[in-house]
Amino acid sequence: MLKYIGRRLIISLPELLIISLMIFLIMYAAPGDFLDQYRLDPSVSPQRLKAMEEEFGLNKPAIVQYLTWLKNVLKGNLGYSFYYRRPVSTLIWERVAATLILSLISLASSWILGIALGVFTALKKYSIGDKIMTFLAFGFVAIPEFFLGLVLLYFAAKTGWFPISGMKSVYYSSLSTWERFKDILWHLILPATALSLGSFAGLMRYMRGSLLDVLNEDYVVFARAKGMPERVVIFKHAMRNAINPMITFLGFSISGLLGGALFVENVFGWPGMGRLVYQALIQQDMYIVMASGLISAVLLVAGNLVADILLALVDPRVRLS
Amino acid sequence: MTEILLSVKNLKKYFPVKQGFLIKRTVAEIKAVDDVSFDIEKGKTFALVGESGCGKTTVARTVLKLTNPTEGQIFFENTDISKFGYSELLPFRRKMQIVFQDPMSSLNPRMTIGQIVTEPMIFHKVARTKQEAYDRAKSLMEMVGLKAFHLDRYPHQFSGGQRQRIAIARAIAIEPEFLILDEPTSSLDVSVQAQIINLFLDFQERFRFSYLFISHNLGLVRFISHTVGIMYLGKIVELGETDEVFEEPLHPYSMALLSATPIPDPKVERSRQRIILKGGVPSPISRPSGCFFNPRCPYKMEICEKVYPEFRKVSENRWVACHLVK
Repeated sequence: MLKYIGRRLIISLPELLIISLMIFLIMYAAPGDFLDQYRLDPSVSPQRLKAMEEEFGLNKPAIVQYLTWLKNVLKGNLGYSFYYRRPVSTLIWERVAATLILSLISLASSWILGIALGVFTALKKYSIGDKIMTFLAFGFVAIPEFFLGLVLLYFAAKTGWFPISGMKSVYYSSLSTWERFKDILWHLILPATALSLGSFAGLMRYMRGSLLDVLNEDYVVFARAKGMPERVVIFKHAMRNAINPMITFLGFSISGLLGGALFVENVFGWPGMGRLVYQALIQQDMYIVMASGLISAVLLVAGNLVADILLALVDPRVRLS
Repeated sequence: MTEILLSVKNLKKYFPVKQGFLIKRTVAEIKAVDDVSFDIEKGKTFALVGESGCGKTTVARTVLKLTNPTEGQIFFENTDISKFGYSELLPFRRKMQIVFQDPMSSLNPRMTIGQIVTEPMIFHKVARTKQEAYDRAKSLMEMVGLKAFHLDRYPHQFSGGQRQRIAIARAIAIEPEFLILDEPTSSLDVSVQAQIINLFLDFQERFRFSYLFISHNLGLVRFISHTVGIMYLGKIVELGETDEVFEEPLHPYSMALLSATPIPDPKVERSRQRIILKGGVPSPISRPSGCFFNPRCPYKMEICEKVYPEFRKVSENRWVACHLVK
């Protein structure tokens, strides 16, 4: 097992290298660079521009820029932000907690609801409840999450029931610990809803289809024929076999933990990584984009590995080799 | 005095065909099983024969009460179980088991063979402890020609024939009296088929099992079954002692069906007269008026298009539904 994990990690290294090179090339190929906004500003002198180019290394050939970045990454240094003039790792670290709260809550809620309602709709196939859920699911899958976010914002602005933006109230620092917790939760509800509805709908449909497939298998029919209660038939015989595709899906979900909330964070002004990356993209603050891309890639590789290991643990047919 | 174990009387199973955008209406019915009656004696085998889609498997599933019959009675040891609910059925579930066609999908891939074979014993309290169930499972494995150490393995580690043996071990683990064999050999190699069939015959001799044997393979049916029913579009058209029906089929459909069996003697085989039927099986939603077989029947008469022939007893243990037979 350890050998397998080691080998998978070694194989993933060239993958990560290629991904980082591609992100770099795309950023490099985009017209302009970070200094364009200063070039347009008449108050910034050409000498100062020259000095900044020198400082950021933007005057060097692309390959040198990339290799320098790569060398720094290997030493554990993700580079400097042009705009904030601070290390990228510090900037990201400050925002990781906010993003993780948001994405973990929405991941958990979409998985719990998705699996529960997926099982429900599979068991009540073609009932009114199933039809309503199917209709809603297609709606949620089709609506982009930023639009859903805007709709929820409109709702919040009209009713005043929820805060419109941010993660904390202005009077946050004067609150007790319990009230602080409630305050963050109150701010969290709308962005978490916007983020989870789409994936909830997809998960529900996956779970429904997967369970329906398994319910037609002869071993499920046999379990019924032998007189087992429906609850045992479904949870002991059917669910254990229907869960496989969901585990693979979980691997993909892990990769979106830090980068998946980009649009929703921007719509709701959530102080997480998504907003940082979005601004960096617009300003061509290259190393922040590179770092976030690299983190997503690492999470994707890790998520797939976790999914494969889980699959091997629960399913005797799957062998890691 | 023969002892009837299972008696099916006028069994009907209709499936509604629904149509409509928001509000579904029943626009037609598929009469998958339409007024089927038969008896199975203790220790004997009754075979159901017919083309795909004629309702054989639906009969099996309805008898097992996996679906509820639309009409009719199912007497098991003189008790009508056709309207029983879950808890009333439980004691009968222990006495009826099924072996499926496809051993690849009939065993839960997540469970070891030990778990698969002992689960019914523990559930029906045939074995009091897990250890007892496991010990019994070991001897069951020997009985079906496998080894005790196989109990720790998973289904995917076995071949098709071995899996079918496991499915049989699982079915007989709770000492049933009645087994439904739903094409149990059709997905196996011929040599393996013979071994499995011999296993069934051996168990019948030892434990007086009764079988409902569903098959396409007419040679096998003749070999294994005592009585046979020939089904066409949800109805039994001919029923009788296997040898009698095979020697002298009375219904034109039986004649055509039986003439399709190759004879393992090259000289006889060369002179075998085949009856080739015209057309295909009509849709079970819109069956022909009169006798369902009339569009394909070589002996069609005027009355055949108007009246469905009565299912009549023509001699001792012989029933036929055909206007030709007087």
